[in-house]
Amino acid sequence: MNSKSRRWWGQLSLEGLSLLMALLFLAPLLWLFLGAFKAPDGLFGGPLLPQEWKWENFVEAWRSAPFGRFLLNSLVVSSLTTLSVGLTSALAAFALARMEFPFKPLAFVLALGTLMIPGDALLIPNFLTIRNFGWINSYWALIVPFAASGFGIFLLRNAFLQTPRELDDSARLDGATPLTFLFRILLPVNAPALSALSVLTFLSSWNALVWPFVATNRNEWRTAQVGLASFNNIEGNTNIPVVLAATFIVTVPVLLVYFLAQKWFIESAASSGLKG
Amino acid sequence: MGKHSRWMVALGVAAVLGTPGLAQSKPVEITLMYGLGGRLGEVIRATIDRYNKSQNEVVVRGEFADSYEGVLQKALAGIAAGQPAADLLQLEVALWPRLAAAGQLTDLSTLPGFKTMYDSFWPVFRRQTDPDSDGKIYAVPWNNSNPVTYYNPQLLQKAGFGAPPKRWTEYREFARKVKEATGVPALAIPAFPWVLEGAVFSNDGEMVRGGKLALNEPAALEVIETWTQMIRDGSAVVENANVTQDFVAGKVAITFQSVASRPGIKALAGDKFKTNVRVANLPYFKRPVVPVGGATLAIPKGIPQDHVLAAWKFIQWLNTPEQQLAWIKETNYVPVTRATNELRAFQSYLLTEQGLGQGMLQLPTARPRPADPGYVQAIQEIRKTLEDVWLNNRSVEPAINDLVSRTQSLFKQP
Amino acid sequence: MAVAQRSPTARSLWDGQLGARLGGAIPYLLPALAVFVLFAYYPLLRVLYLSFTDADLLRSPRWVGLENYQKMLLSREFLGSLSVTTAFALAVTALEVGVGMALAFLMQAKTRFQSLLRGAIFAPVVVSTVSAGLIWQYMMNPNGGPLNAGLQAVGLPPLGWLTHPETALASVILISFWKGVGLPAVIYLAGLQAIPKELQEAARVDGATAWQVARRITIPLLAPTTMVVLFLSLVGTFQSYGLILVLRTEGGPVGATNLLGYHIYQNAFQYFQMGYACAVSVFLFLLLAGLAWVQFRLSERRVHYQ
Repeated sequence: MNSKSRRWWGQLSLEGLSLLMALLFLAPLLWLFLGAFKAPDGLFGGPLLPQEWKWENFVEAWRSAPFGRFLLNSLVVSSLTTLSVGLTSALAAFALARMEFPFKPLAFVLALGTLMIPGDALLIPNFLTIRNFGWINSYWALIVPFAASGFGIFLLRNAFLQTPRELDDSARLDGATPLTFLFRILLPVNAPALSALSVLTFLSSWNALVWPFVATNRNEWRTAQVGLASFNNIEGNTNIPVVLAATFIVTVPVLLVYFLAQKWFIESAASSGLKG
Repeated sequence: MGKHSRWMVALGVAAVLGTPGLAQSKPVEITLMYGLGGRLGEVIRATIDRYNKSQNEVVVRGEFADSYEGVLQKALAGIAAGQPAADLLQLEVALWPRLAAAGQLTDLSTLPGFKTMYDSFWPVFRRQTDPDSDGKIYAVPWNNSNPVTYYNPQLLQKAGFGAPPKRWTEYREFARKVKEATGVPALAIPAFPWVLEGAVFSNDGEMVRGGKLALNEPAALEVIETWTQMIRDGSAVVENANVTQDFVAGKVAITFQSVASRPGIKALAGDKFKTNVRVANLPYFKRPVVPVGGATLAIPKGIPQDHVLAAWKFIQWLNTPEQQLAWIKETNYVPVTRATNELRAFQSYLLTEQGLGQGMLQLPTARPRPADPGYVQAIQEIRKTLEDVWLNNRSVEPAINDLVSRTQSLFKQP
Repeated sequence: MAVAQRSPTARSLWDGQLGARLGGAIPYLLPALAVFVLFAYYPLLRVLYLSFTDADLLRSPRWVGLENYQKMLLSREFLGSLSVTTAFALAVTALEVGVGMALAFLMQAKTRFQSLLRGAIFAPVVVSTVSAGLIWQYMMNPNGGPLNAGLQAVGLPPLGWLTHPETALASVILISFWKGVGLPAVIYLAGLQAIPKELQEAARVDGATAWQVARRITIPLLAPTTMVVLFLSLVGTFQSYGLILVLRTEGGPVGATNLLGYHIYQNAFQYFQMGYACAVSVFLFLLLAGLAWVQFRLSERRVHYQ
């Protein structure tokens, strides 16, 4: 009885805390969401709810830049980057976690070191490189420089190191090659880490702004963030609710990816009977 | 290189003098890289479209580069690659002198029809584009503005004022009364030194003199002291990023902003714009002076001559009074040429709303911003020092003296 | 680690069948390394070279030796920026590790708000920085913005938030935390999912309280995840400056939000001082490398104890 009521109270406080945290994090976004439906003069001074729901803000946002093309580009670039990062990270992390070879620490340090290089100074050298490759205005320029990630290698290596080696033994007894072991067993077992990596990679690729500007100059190759940036100017001559509507348009696809990946990683973690 | 460029000229001349039929069938395509988005970006794209439809010798393609810094980034990358980023660059007024000094921009003064155009500029723009008066011109003004006083007549009324004072010396008393009558600060003073430049110039002072900042001279100190007193007695506040919102919400009675900020203020104010927003001259000390700011158009070095000529045609078209008027109607920037002023349509446009002509009225007394290469960096130091004085209560003179001495190294010629 | 020590032969399980050992690893490493060399280390070498020159990207660079580094170490602006950046990075990292882990626990708890919470914590990560800047500029308006309205409603004095030197950095830290904590929370959640439920359940059956289970079992088991989060947060926050651009503080007031990343950006693309910007970049790189090295040494020791 006593412990039952204690558990009931515990559950209640968990529920309450969850709701509170959710609301705290969402409160600023609520303003963004509602602001997307307002007229500019009601945005900062007016009531929280729009006096008149201006759906035309979304129409104007959509029309103000070729968002269809931009979203498609973002989708292609972010998906391919995520795929490449998953692949290159898994391969390298496997070698680092499961193989012995000379210069192994150096390889790991080289991977990690890429995270510490301040990006701004690299813009121009990298511009020259992709220009020499003839990649200006192409998907290549937007994908290849980000096709591997020190973070990905780091994350997957850590996950692989935690995976019990008994799995290797049994796989080897079944006659698996390293590659089949990696892709059939090691990666599925580490689905949570892999999906966390995918979400983060997709996101950072989706939100990249500076490099896409430097590497492209035609709308055919530009991404959704470039579309968002096109609302800015120093004179403040911008319809802010339309900017918020555009933000909304650009944000929803990523939230969708997040929810899908989240569902997938929770399910795959729960259903994997391979857990040690 | 020499041989190369001679070939270019030859080719260019051939392209220009070539058979008219050829020129018509094959228009020259040039790119314009610009750094303004939002409504202004839309206006730029519409302007380009209009030009492309108006003739068939040149096709301009606009390339958006995010911001003035974005244009510079791409320009620098283009220089590093040995291939210019675009045929025409929109460069902020403080940025082009460095590119010109390094020989990276094309001299426009030898192009056909240059003199006529140059002579039609307001004197301030002739000075802005040729600060060293050597006759070589590397950039022509495009989108330019100057700061004006936006005030809330309702709030001023409460203190019995119909308009703000014309001179800074009358501001202290005025600001105290407005604050008393309304409970809100009378004015927001920016730490970014654009308005400061105007006030210092108007007091016969200078921002830069003799290879260092001249803010410790009496003229400039008087300006800073006047402002500091108003901030210290609470009748003025330091401008922050929310200033436009606060102004239209009636939380501050006066803000000093660019004439081109008007459309943005209007959008935020909505219906209240007519009753709550008026425009007056930028206050001054001894005589009216305003600084101008904005961006210019420049042609990088290494552009084929036929592109140079095509870009030049586009610039000339932009400077025709009719195009200036169309541009000003959308953006509220000031006209670059005096010829625009003579258009009857322009004059009648200025009468459609109170204060629309203020930027233009201030042009005869306008001065370019300091063009010293070190000034771009000094701006941030000035800003920091003013914030230190106003927000951390440092005393004016020692802070300014420190500012002048620590920025001195910026003004050494490289 | 423990497993490896029990059966040392398992360590090099996949070596033998791939022939020569380095040769065996190379195909696995090559794709990633090629990208790193081409787009990170080769340009880094150029940055290193430029840091010894007076490069402005306009004229050909001239060798100036250590001048940029000397200028950097003597510059008040740089030193101020370094201390601001350190405070910012440590505060945000501490929040991301501490609160990020706590939020992951909460996100794992079975409540009817579970999906809402998971979405809510992550949503700010997805919102573009520009919009985050707009939102918080409005929230933190000292002149009657929602945050000050809230403070005044509970009888507290209003704050200057981003507009005052004393509160500006704390405000940026708060925004960074709101915008960024979703990532560590998700990484922690992934870590939690990977911990076998049986361990925790067994401990509960033995009579341990939820807090004891968390402290004695779950948090230690999360140590590798904490390593990841700590490392990422530190490395990320030391370089970040996107918020400074969109909040339009321009590093102020009075340098209070002048993060090193912004200092580099300004020098490279506003002041035409690429050589100097490169020197600061090299410094930042070395600083982060040093921090990472210390962190790895410390964590190695802890893992051994465990």
